[in-house]
Amino acid sequence: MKVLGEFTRRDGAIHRRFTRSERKMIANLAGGLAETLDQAGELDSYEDPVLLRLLPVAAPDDPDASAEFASATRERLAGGKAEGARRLVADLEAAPDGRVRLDDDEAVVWLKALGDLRLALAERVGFESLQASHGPQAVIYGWLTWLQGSLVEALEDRPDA
Amino acid sequence: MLEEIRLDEDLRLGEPWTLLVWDDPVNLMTYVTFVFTSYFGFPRSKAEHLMLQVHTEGKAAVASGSREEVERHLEAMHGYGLQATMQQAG
Repeated sequence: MKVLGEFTRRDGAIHRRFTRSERKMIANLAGGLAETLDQAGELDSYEDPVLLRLLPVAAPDDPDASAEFASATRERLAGGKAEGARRLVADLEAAPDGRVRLDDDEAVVWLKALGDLRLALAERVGFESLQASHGPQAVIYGWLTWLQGSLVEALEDRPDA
Repeated sequence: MLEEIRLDEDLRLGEPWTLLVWDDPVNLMTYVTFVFTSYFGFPRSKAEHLMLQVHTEGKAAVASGSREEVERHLEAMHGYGLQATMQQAG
């Protein structure tokens, strides 16, 4: 997989060019995650480890408070995460020649969505397996980790910071 | 006509709730610090201190307050993908 450089901040925005294979890979992962999150209304978190990690139990010692929190927030949280995952795909599809340009608010949406992809991957494959392996999933996980770290740095790289 | 007023001796204001953030192997240290500065508005030194506490001690109490306040923070933390829970003090 050909990998291009880091996110960089210039002209008040954050930029990075994505190769075709990078775009395709993110689109596949993010599309799958959005579909999983779409089922959050019907599935109990305990039925899917990814949902349990992304929509965790609020108060493990307090089932009533946890249930009340879930009924008040679960749909909104799952919807927000699914929307973030689909935003990644839409931004990449709309990027001319793979060149993405994000303002700070958009970059935070990306940051969260990239984090959710990493959490989902680590939950599906197992974090230990990802660390121990050099297989394709481990390579993708490592790349997403690097990419998210690069986006944090670009966000922190503000003239007023 | 006088009403008899019974005082409930057991009545007390609810104990405050605490927001805990737990260590997890996936979230980057720089990302956790970013969340603490940008969401809570903590100064960088405080955000880094709390992040390191999460990392080395396994968890940190990041906020406390009424149940409503802590639930709002908890929803935000789950939005950021942090492994966060709430518990009632005491």
